[in-house]
Amino acid sequence: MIAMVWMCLTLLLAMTLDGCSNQSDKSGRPEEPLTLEAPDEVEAGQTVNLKLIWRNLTDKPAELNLGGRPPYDFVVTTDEGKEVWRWLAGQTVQDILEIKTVDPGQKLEFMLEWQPVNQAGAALAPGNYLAQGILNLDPPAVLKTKPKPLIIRNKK
Amino acid sequence: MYRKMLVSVVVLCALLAVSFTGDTGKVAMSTGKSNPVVSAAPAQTDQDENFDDRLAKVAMQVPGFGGMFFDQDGTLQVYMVGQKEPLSASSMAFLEDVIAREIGGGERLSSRGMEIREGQYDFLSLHRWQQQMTPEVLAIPGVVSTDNDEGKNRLHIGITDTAVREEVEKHLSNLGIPPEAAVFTETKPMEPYLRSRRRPLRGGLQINFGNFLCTLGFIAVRNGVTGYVTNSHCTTTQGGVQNTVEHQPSASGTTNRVGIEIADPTYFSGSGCPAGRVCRRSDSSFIQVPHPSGPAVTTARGTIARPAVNSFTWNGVDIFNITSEGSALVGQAVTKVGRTTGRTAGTVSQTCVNTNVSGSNITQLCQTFANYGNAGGDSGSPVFRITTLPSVVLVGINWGGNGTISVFSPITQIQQELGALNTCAGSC
Repeated sequence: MIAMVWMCLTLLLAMTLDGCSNQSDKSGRPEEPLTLEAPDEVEAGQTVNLKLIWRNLTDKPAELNLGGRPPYDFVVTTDEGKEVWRWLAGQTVQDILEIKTVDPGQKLEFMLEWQPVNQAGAALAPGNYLAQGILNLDPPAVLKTKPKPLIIRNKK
Repeated sequence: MYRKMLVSVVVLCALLAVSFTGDTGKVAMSTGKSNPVVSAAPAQTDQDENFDDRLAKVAMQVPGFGGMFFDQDGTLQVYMVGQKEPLSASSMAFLEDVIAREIGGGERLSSRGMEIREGQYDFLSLHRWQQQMTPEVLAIPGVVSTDNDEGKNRLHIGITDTAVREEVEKHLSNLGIPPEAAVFTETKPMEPYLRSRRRPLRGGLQINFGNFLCTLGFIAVRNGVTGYVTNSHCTTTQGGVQNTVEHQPSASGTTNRVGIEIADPTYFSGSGCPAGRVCRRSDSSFIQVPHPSGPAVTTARGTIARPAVNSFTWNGVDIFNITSEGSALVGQAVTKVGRTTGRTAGTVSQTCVNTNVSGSNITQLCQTFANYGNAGGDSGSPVFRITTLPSVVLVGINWGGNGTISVFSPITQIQQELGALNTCAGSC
C-alpha cells in the first residue's frame, strides 16, 4: 500500500515537473523563443517541411513587430556555412510592419514546403546541410534560429 | 456636495429629456423614423472646432451624454450618465440623429448597432475639466498627455512614472475635479520622431491601420478632396476600396483617426498582365482626410518631413517642399523618407521593371528600382529628387525591396490609376 502511494506521488511529481519544463529543454537550458522544425534527414528529391515557430515563453503578452510581408525567411547552407539556398533571395518584399500580440504560452508559426534545390533550381546533391529560420522584426532587429543539421541522403 | 448635486441634476435632466422607458439597448442602423433636434448647437466655426467640441455639441442636445466609441465588433457604444436600463426606441433614434448630425457629418454611425453603457460623468463636465486641467497638468514634469477620453468616460492622463500621479491629483483636487474622474496610464515620453503624433500631416510620417504600420506618402488634392497617398497594401485589402480607417501615428480611440480610404483601383488580369497573376501600375491608394467621424486634421500639402540623412529623428520643423512632379532616370539620385529607416538616399538602377510581389500573385508593372535604404514600415514613403534644398521633385512612393534593391511606383503611374493629384503647395 505504502509502495503504491509512493509510486503515485512519484508519478505526480514527475508529471508536475514535466508540466513545468515547457520553458526549458531536456538539459535544463532555457528554451529559445524562435525555433526551426525540420526533419533531420530526407531522401534526395523529397519535400522538406520547414516550420519556423516563435513562442512567448514569458508570463505576459508579448508584442512583436513583424517587418515586411512576408516577415520570415529560410536559409540553407552547406555544413561549412556556404549558402546554397535562401527562400526570399531576389524576391520583392512589401515594406509593411505588422504588430502581433502573442499571449503567454502562445506561438506564431510560419511554414514552407521546400524542394531541396539550390538558388538556381538544381537539386541539391546528397550531403550534410544546415537549415536556419529568420524572423524580421522592427528593423534592424532580426531573430535567427540556430542552424539545424539536415542530411540529404541518396534515394534508396 | 455641489458636484453631487450637479451630477444628480444632470441625471435627472437626462431621465426627463430622453424618456428612458426603453425596450432595447441595441438597434440596427435603419430604425426608420427619427426625432427632430430639440436645441441648437452653439455657434462656432468649423475651423476652430475640434472633435471634443463636436462631442460637446451632442452633450448639449442629449443631457447625460458621456462620450462614445466603437467596440471591436463595430457597435457604437454610448455612455449615458446613470443609465442602467435600455433606452426606448424613440430615444435611441433621437440619439442616433444627433450623433449622425454632429459627429457623422450626416452619416449614421450605428450601422452595426448602438448600445448604451452606464456612464459616471457627462461629457460637458469632462470637457470643462479637461480644459481646466490641461495648462496646469501638462506643465508638470513627467506628464506626457491629457485627454477627455470618450472611450472610457474619464479624463485620461499619460505619465512617465507613477510617482507623478500624486502631484497631478493634487492639482486636480485644487481645481475641484474629482480624482476618480481621472485614469492614469504609464507611457513613454513623446520623442521627436517620424513615428510620433504630428500635425499638420505631411509626407514621411508614420500611419497605422488595423495592426499594421506604414508611411504617409504625400498630401494631395484629388477631385477637390484633400487626402494623402500611400500604398494600396497599406489598406485592409490590396486593391479595392474597403473604407480602411487610418490613424497617425497609431490608433488611440478616435483621437488619432485621420482618414478613410476612398480610392484603390482593383488589380486586373490580362491586358499585359502575366498569366495567372493580377497587376497594377502602381501600389497606391488615396486616403481622404479627415475621416468623416474623426477629429479635424490639418494637412500641409507640398511638404515632406526632413530629418537628417540616415535618421528618423525629426525636429518637426525642417521640411522638404515639393515644387514639381517628375520622373527618375537611371543614374539619378533619389531620396525617401519613411517611419522605419528615416531619410535615406540612393541611385536609380532600373526603370519600368515588371516585378512580382513575394508571397502573392501580384505583379507590379513598370516600377522603378533604386538602392536607397528601406525596410518594413517604410511602405508608402515619398520618393523624390532634391533639386535645391529644400525644393524637391516628387517622383513616386516606395513599396518594397529585397535587401539590396528598393522599389517605388512612379508618380505618373500613380496619377494614371488614382486620377490627377495636386501635390504641390500651390500647383504643379
